Amino acid sequence: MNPELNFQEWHRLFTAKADGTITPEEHQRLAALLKDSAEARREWFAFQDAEAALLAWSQREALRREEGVDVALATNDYAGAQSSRHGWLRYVGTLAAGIVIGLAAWALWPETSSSLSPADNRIAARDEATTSSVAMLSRGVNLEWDKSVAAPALNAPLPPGLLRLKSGVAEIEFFQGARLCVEGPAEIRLISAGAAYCQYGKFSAHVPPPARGFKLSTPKGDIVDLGTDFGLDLNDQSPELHVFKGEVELHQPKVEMRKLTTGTAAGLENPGSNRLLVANAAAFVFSHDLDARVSASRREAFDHWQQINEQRNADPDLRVHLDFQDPDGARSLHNAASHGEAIAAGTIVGCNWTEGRWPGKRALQFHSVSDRVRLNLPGEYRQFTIAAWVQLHSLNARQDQSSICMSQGLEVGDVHWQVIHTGALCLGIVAEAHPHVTDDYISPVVFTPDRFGQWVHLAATFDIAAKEVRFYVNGELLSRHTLKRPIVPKPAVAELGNWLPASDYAGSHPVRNFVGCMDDFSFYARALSADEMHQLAQ
Amino acid sequence: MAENAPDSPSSEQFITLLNAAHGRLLGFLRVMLGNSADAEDVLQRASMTIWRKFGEFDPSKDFFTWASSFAFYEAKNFQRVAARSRLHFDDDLLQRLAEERLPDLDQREARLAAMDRCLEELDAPGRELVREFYLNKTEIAALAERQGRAPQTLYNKLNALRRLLADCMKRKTTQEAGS
Repeated sequence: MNPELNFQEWHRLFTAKADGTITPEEHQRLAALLKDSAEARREWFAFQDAEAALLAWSQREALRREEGVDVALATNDYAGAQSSRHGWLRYVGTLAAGIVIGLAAWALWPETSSSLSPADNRIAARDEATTSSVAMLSRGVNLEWDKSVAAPALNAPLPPGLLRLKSGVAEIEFFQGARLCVEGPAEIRLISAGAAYCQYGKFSAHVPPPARGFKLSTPKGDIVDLGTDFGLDLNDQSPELHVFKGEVELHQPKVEMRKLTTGTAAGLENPGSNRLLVANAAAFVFSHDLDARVSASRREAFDHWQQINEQRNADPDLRVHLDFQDPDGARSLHNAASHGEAIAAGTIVGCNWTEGRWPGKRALQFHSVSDRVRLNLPGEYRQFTIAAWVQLHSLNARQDQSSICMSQGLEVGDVHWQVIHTGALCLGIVAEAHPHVTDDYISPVVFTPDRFGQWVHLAATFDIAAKEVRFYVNGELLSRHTLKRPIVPKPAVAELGNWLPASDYAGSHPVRNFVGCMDDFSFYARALSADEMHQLAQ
Repeated sequence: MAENAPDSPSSEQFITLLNAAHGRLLGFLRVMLGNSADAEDVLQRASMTIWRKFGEFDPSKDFFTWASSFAFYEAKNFQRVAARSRLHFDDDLLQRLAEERLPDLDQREARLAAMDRCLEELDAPGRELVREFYLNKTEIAALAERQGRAPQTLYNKLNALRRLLADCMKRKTTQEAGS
């Protein structure tokens, strides 16, 4: 049988089933088809995802057209999710009690989408705005994680789960407000925004009044904090709890709860013992000199960056390197690549100067729809690497894409590197001009709201000989894509953080502006290897 | 863990986890039920079961995988109740679809992203028709009347578009090797 006819018939049955117009006879055929053919099942799965995408897009479209909706809706709602949490909690409480069960209650659920009327389509914007994190890694010095468990980056949000710190000092800020310093070697399991389980290690906690009730469990009992500073040493033969300020409840199996107050300490080994010790702050000094150590390590990182930069700039294939270390008020970005003489400085339009990854590192902030850096990248590239350090602040709910670097216009060979509204990366090479067709390579999702505000190294390589496009995040390979057509890229005039359909364009065009900061951009005339990429993101 | 009190840490955790898994759970249910309205309906019911059982959830495990088993039983149940009047897949087929869909869901995000790109390449009238249809599914007749066309003609045009878009999405995703 003609396979094309097959697909056509399958698709007809799929839509009839989805739309509820299917006849009993057709339904029987569809069920038999799905039972017998693995290929038909795969098609059916893809069809359902296509339907979900069309529905979600339609809702976003309606949202875009609706006047008076805040442009930054998605991010605002994300931020609001924290403060409005208790509203949802009440709902869940009722649900648990079994008092309200039904559609009315469901309508309160923040993510319900398709069953609502179009007037309620603000909901669609929330689909991306979720997080399962309970804390964040706020600071750290000389961190060495057990990578087989997890290796979170600085400022990374932390979901519930295990962390094993081999050495160094990490500061974890729980969303409920408690701050916990951990000195390695240590093992801790995050449970919720206000609770964790400590297996071993040294811990120092600061619990401000709003975080009262913060609970640390240990193999020797539970510690409930009533608004204090305390230290917990589980490394010693006889584990100890030290209270520096305020009050702490110590719950141990089979004995009565004990309260410890300012200046006291207790051993956890013998639960029955009433012997109180004197708190020893010196044993937890690792949490006090953290500020100084963090500043020192950031200075070191910046010095290190300056050193390796010289080496990097000498790479013969490096065409453009914008290091953003231009003087205050500069309206152009010098090209630091030693072999990039032919390429002029980038011109800044709008944008504000700000601080980059470390003190001393400069960056540009892109905020408004006009902010951009214009750049000319002459030449044809059968292979290239494009890379940038960026800090994304939000993804606009009404905007399909945000430009990282996009060629002006839609000519064959134009390069369009952008973040899609889902948070995935897309590298597009324009393959046909009239009507325009772009060969798009789309990565898995990189930017969930959890990643907003973090510095991330993004890179893409394109290689006609290897027939491959690759995406890298923070120096690690994210995805590989087989080249669709051997179109030779010609970036020509391009913009960082924005896009113009043509230089003399006067009509309205889709908004593509990037909302966030950038402090480094490079373009190589070769596809860097995985090892080189790892180095580049250091 | 203590009972699921409304302000306990576990309810916060439940909400964040369920929110994060919401899209994939819907995607999981869609392939068994065939349309989004039923999938929403069943997910609503399943959420209550998931909440009641949440005390048994091990936070070190994957929430979606754990929750999907409740969603599966809720889907089965839904079909049993609706069986008298509605066309539905039998339990064997449901089981098989559920099993194969779990690994398949890894491709969901890429498909959604690809479809958005395809829509961008579509002409304005095509986009308009898609938008009208998916926002007001039941009103294809009204739409036809507004455009002075026969409902069947419009529906055929729409389905041709859906086919075109599905092909485009496939083109943009199937050539990806690994991730």
